[in-house]
Amino acid sequence: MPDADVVIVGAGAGGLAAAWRLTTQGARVTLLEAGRRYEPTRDYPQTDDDFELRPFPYNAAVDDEGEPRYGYGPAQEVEPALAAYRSWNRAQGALAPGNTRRYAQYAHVRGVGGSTLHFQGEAHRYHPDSLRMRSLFGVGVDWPISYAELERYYDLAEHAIGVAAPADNRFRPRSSVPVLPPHPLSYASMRLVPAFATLGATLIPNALAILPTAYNGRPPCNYCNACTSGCPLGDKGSADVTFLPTALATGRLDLRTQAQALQVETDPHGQAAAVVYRDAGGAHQRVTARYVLLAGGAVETPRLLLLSTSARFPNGLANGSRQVGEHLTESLFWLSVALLPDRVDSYRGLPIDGAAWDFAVPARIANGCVGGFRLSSAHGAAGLRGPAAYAERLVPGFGAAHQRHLAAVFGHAVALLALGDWLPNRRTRVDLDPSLKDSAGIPLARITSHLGDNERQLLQRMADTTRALCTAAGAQVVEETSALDLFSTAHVLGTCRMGDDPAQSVADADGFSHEVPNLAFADGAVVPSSGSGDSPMLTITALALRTADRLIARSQSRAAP
Amino acid sequence: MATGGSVTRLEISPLYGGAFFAHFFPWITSESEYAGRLSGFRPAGDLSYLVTVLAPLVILCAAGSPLARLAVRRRRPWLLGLSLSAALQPLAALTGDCYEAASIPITRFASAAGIDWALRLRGDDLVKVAAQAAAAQSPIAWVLFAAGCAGGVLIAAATLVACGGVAPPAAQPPSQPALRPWTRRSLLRTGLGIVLLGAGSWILKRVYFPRRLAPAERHTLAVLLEVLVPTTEFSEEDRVALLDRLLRDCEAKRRTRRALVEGLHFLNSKARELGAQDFVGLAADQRQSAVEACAQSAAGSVPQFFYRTVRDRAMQLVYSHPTTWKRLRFPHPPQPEGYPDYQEPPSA
Repeated sequence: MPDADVVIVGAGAGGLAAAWRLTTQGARVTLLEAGRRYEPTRDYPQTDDDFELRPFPYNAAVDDEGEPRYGYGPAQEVEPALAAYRSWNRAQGALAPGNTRRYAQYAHVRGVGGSTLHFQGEAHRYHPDSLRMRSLFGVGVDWPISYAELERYYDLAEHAIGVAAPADNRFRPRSSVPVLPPHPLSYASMRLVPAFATLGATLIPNALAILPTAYNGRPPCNYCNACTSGCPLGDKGSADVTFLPTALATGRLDLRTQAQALQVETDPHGQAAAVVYRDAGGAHQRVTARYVLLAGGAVETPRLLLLSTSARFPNGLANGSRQVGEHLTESLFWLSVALLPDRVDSYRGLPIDGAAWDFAVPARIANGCVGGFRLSSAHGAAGLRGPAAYAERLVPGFGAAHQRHLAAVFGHAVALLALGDWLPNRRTRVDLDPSLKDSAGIPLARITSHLGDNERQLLQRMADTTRALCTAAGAQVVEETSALDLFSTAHVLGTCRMGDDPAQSVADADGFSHEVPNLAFADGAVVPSSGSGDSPMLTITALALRTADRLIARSQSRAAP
Repeated sequence: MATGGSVTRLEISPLYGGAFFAHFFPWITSESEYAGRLSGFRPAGDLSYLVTVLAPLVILCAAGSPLARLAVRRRRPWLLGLSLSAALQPLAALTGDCYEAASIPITRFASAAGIDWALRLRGDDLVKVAAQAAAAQSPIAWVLFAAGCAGGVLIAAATLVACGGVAPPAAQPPSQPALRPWTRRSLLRTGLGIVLLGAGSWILKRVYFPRRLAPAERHTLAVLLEVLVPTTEFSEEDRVALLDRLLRDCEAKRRTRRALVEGLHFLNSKARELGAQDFVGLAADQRQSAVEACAQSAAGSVPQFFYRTVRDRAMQLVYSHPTTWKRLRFPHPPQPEGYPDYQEPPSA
């Protein structure tokens, strides 16, 4: 008898959603999480005076010993012709000097709740066309499931999490009424609405997993704008406050923290049989289960599969077609910070409170470029949370002149974010680093990111539109951050993508491995396309819930005589 | 690697020719802030770790000691210069590798006894480790730290004794011919030896053991802080605390500690060009000019790095202090109140 019905690796958005769905339907689940469990009121620093200097208490770049958590592949050269689209700010100059793209970080959190612990609450539904990029535009791949099928699970996820969204976003049509009404725009964002109108766009409230009113025993938001440092109130729908309590209450969830999965073992029939992990004390443990559900994210999940080699799976588990780790996509980003003539105090509110979806429908743009992008008011996301950010980044120089200048512009800054499509390309991928290893000597994942022609063209369009918005708002640009010379992403997807063709995908339409029938996925690794400016949390959650349902169905059909 | 561990690349800052070397050696990367740092070092286990830390020390000492004795016997000052820094390496590494070597078994033992944070007390920078011990907020941390220090001293002494590093040179055999009188050539050799010893020690110390600021330099930093961000609104107590934290943050990394020393030296040099004894002795407008010169230094230069580091950190620290918030009409940290008035225009 196995230790559990299902062992899940990773307690992020997908892993916890799946654990909730499975345990509430009677399954016994063991959940392995490499990080620790955070205590919001103790661990999150928003009450401290130096809150601006203290991000979420997890360093995504290096471990406790100062060693890197990931390897990075070759850095792409930045074309001199695109110098106008590089990252800079007024006080510090070039943010990524040199002639190559700089790997800043894969922004994520290891811990119970995963990256939802520091995410900014965005809960987006993909545009239906993003699921048919190959059919409509001849790029990327089509999803193996329909939008209607996905939407059922969007609804389920929104109810479980508590999503506040506008009901009338015609660029993201929906057949159900949102669970909660949207948050009104902040004063700073309202100030930008006319500028959007000059471009034919409409800034509307963003769809957010942040509560405007009490919901399921959680309190409403008090608009502190500090979601990225962790939410001490519990109004932000991080997976540790949405799915975990109910799953634990069933008594069928065995949560093991600081448990780093090392290998998925298989039985003589090629079925996943157990997961070997390293516990907090460094000892190797083994947990057996009827099903293994991988939910470590689009970087760690392929790492685990590639590490799980055996005579039967010499290239790594589920990697017969050598698709594991390929097709990594990110969100293409451009961020402008600009100073308005008047004070708006944009440190108040929600990190990304408004969105304009007018350009966020995938389309064929000029010069063969395909994609779309969403524009947002993103003052908190840009880190405009207090005086230190202004003093360090936005006001040049020093001394009394700096002091006077700062006093004149503090509270005037707004930030505009553009997020766009990233088409899969052969050079953007995850594999095992040939030399970097973790503290136990296990090879680290290596991320290689490369902007294709499509991304470079789309990025210019995003930048030009954002700059035009700043001009229309009468705002002076003082900082620009660009994917052109910086790799910095939280939205990693596609490294074990689902599809109908086993030669081109790792998972089937249900999220199960083509090769290993009792191995499934519940994270961003299975998502085949980046979306046109959509944050992926809701899509990852919806697919994880759907895979959990499929797992229950398969389990029942297997058990049936 | 010989001990079963692995190391992936050598990081060299562009300041120290990293970009140049990277053209020729694929395992060198210039995307670093270090003068030279092996990156991705992963030992195969504690024993491998211990051997990796101790081996260079022992090899240097073992090679340096007999060479130093030979140099004395044969009156070869240049050889003495070269060998002495190697022979006395355990002393130079007292607060680095010696502590680290001692801390490996001590922290492993503590970790096995259930003190799971004990492994954080490993490291080759005693100051950094002390900060970790303080952060642990447990007297046990200081006991482990002290044990590591004592162990480090023992390791250094044992290495010196084992390698003969402290043993006096063997007595001259009676048959040895009488010492030759100093000649111009031997004087030259002695001079060369001293120069080599001095230069070697200076480079080692400057690169690997950058010193902390002297009291006079700390005063210069305080004056610089006033130039960068006037803190007249602050109480004396807050001002001292601010300077302490700035210093602590800047000295936390070897590279920034070195830049601190060199950057202040740059400011004093500028002051001398302006006719003053040092930066502190400059008039207010001249101080501005000196700092401006620092800020306008060549991209990637030490003075510019120093300016960026100190300026940015000073701005962060000063404007994270509620004393500065009133003037800017910034009300309070995000929690516990939040900003429920977020839809309203800013209050006047």
